[in-house]
Amino acid sequence: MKTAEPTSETWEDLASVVLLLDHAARAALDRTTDYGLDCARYTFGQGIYLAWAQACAMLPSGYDSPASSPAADAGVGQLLAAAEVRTRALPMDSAALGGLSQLVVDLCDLIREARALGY
Amino acid sequence: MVTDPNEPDSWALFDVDELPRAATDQRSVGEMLWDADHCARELLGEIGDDDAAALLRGWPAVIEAANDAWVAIPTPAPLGPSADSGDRMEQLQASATAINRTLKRDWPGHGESDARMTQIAADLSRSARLVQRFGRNAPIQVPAVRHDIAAARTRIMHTVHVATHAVVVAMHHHGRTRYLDARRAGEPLPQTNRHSPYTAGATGRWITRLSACETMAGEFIAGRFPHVLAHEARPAAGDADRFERALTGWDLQVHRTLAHAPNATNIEAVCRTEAGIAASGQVLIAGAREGGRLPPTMAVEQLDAALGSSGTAWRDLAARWSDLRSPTTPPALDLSRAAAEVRAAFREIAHDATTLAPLEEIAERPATAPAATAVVSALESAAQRAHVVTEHADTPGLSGPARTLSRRAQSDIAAGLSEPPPGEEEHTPVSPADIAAKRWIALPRPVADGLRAATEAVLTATSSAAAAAAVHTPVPAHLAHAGQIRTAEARREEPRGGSRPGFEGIRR
Repeated sequence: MKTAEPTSETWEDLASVVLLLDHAARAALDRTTDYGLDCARYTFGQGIYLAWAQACAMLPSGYDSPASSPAADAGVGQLLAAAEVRTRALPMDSAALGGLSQLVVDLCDLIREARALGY
Repeated sequence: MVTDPNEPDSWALFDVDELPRAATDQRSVGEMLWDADHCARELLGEIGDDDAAALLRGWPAVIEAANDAWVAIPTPAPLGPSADSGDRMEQLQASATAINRTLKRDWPGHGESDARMTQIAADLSRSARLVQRFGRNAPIQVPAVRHDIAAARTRIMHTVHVATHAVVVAMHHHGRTRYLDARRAGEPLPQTNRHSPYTAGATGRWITRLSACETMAGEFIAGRFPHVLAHEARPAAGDADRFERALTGWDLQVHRTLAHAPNATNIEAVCRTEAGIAASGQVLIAGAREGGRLPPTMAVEQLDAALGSSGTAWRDLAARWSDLRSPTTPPALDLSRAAAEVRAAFREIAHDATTLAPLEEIAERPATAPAATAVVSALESAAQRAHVVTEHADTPGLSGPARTLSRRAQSDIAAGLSEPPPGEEEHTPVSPADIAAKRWIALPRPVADGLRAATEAVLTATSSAAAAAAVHTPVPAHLAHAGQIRTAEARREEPRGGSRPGFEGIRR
């Protein structure tokens, strides 16, 4: 089990979570519709966006991610599931990652919501 | 972690390869705690409509096993910043004992426990037994061991946090099922604002008790890190005015943040949330109308169209500002928190346990009409926020990643939204060298034009929405009495010398 001090590997793992959430949020929020916004999908996208902001806030200021962007054709549900899997490698007991438990709960809620919305 | 039995500093209590393994289970303590966490996450992502009873029956065993593991782990002294951690687990254990007694004589009564909860409890129990047998002499004065102990405890509490949240979500599902059954039977149950719209009767008591336990576990983890606690979203207030307060807080925070840090990330966050408020407003107004709680004079169709245009315009502008920020730069924490509160307040009114509830359910909720009123009243301030955002569209020196700006420019040109610079029709608006080198560049003209046009669209849409709302917006009492402001509605009514209730009437 990892200990409290984040390593470069920790930041890379967290950065990959951030990138996955960034892609998922854009995919859910910027979807073009002809009849205005679909509230259910938009508030779902906002949830992903806020999860992205949570995860992002845990990164060191000015962190430049070496992680590559997720596959362009990945669906929102797949991106969320991949982000949750990535959080499993992160150390729970770290002052820098103090919001991790809530992030995990929010991600699991979003995964369930994604299924309900047919993503 | 390096493991050398002769070197105390590297002794790892919960390392995968270090502890002796039980004869029947080859996993280490660390692996068991991981498995319990993993199982709780899987559970939360897959809760079904009929899981509540079995999950609730299984919950006390999870807490008991978590407590066993917690107690078995050696306690370094002094405990330092987590000195109250034992109290938290004791409180959870006490709650679990009390809940276990209640659920045998009340709903759900005797029956099967959920297999996933049983698995989580089993993993935690096995880890407790393993630590009791082999972990008593752990060198707890060694920093690495102390870290491992703290990590194990945090993982246990995190598992409790996730599993308890799963039971709360299942209870929401159960409450909704009861509500729908009662409605079908012609004896509808009232909806509430307390934690969930479906908390009438026993379901409400369970949700209240389990939510308290979830909060206890969550606060233990976040509370160990004050900087995290300081920026957490507020817990549910359970009253009809939460959405209105959230909008007021949002307005204040937007002005504060954009006054001090008007960067692309923060402006995108503002635009995304404004779009969400507009979309939420459409649902709330439709719900209040469905429930017959809007004044008959209200031009609902006009407001709905104005909110629709406004939401789309904000959404398009958000996408353009998102082009100008790094994917790893977060918005200001206070701004994120205010945005999260707006979303949470809306979900409390309009969502079932997972996603948006049907309109007929939203219509029956007590907070729907006050929230619809709040949205209409806030349209004027939304137009003001649009002006604040507009000021930044022409900021000199705006820049963004070359690849993203290139895509945006080409897309705008292809869609006829912008034209390439004269004489450069054959060239791409962004240099391939800048793209290859992943440089940040100044906005190419097509992108700057597009940003300006999207900003104008927001101004137009929010001004129209504010105008549509003006006739329904109540005047603050202190101004109305002093005769300082007259609404359009008041002016129309003056010749007859009376007043119409308008939105003010909904509040009573």
